[in-house]
Amino acid sequence: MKDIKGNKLSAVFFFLLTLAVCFFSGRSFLSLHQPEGIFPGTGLTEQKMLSSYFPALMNTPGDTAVYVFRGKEEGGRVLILGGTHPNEPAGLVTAVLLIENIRLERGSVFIVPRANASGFSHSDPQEGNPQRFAVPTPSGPRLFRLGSRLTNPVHQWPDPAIYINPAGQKLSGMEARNLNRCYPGRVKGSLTEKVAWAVMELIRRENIDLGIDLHESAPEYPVINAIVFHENSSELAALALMDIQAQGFDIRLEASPANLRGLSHREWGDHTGVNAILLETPNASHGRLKGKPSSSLIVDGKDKFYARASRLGWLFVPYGEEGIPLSLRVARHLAAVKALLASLEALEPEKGVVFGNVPLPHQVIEKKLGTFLHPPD
Amino acid sequence: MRLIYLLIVFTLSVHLTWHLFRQKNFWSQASTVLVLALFLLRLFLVK
Repeated sequence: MKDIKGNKLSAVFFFLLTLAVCFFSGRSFLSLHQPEGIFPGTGLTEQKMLSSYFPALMNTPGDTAVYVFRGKEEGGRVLILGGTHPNEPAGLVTAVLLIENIRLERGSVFIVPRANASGFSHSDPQEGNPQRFAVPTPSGPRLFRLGSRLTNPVHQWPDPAIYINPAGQKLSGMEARNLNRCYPGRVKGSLTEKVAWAVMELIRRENIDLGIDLHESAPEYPVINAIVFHENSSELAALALMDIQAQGFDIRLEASPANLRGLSHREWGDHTGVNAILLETPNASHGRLKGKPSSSLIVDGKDKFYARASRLGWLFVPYGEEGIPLSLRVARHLAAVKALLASLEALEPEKGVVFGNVPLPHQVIEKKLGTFLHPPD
Repeated sequence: MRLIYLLIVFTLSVHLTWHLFRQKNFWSQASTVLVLALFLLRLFLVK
C-alpha cells in the first residue's frame, strides 16, 4: 500500500472520526435494550411485572411486563407466553395483537409478550439478522425487535461446558441461556432460571388452567405446524386440532416426550398440573437454508431457497414461491389459541374463557396483520 | 471489580490515543483508530 505521511492534523481527524463512530454506533446498539411500545386496548385490567410473582427478578434484565385481562364473570384462567425465543417473531406479534385488541367477558387471560426480555436486547452473532422488522400498518410501518433465541451473554455469563438444567437433563452449555430449557427454574439460579421460576410462580399463584407457549420453527425442523401437548392435555389438544383443521389450517399433534426435560410443555404440566401446550408455526428467517436475512423475509416470508428445498422434498411443510408470511403465521397462532379456549370450555364448562374484539384468523390473512395493530408511535 | 476493569480499559485507551498522535504514517493512524473505537465503546460500557 502506498505510504502516505500522517501528521497531527490527520491524527485529530481520526480521533474525531472515532468519537463520531462510537457515538452513533453506541446509540444504535443501546437502543436495542429499549423495548418498543405495546399499546393495550381498553380491555386491559391490570399491567404488572413478572417480578411481582418472584421479587428476586426485580430490577434485572429478565423482568418483563405481564398484561392481565379479566372478564366480568369467573371462568378459566389462561396464560399466553410470547417471546420465549425472541428470534421467533410470530409469538411476540400474536401476543401484541391480543393485548391491543382483546376484551374479555368471562375468565382471565395473562399475556407475557416478551417472556425472555433479555433475549430481545441482542441479536444472534454471525447471522446477519436485522435488528428490527417492520410490519406495515395503515399509518406506516411499525417496528418490532428481532432478538436472539438465548439470554444476552452480557446478562448471564459465562456458559458452562455442560448445562444440567433444573429438571436434571444434560445439555450443551449455551442452553443455559435458553428459557425453554430452564423450566421449572431455580430460586437461586441463573437469570434465565429465575425467569423460568417466575413463570412457574405466576402459574401457581394465579391458578392457571391452560398455559400456551407461542413459538416458531424452521421449515426443515420436524416439529412444525404443530400443537405440542403435555399428556394431561391430550384430549384438549385433540379437540382443538379438529377445530383448527375445520378452519382450514393444516396442523398436527406432537406429544411432549417425557424424557425431554426443561421445556414449557413438559415442566409446566409436571410441576403445576396446568394444561401445557406449545404451538409452532414455520419461520424461514431462523432456518439454516434461508437466503439473505431481512425484515422482508420475516414479514413476507418469501425465500427462493426454501421454495427450492420444498420442491426437493427437504421440508416438513409445503413452502411455495409465495412464502409463508407473518400474517399467516399469526393467524395460525390465533386460530389455535381460540380453538384451545373453546376446547377447554367444551371439556370443563366452568373454565370457559369468552373474549371479543379479536380479529378472526381469516381476517388477519385477508386484511393483513397491520390493520389490527396499533399505529406506530 | 468494575472499577479495575474500567481502569484497565481507560489506560489502554489513553495509550492508543497517545500512539495515534505519535504515528507518522497515515495507515498506521487508521489502523490505530480501528482498535481505539472498540476500547472507547468498552470504556463507555456499550455492550
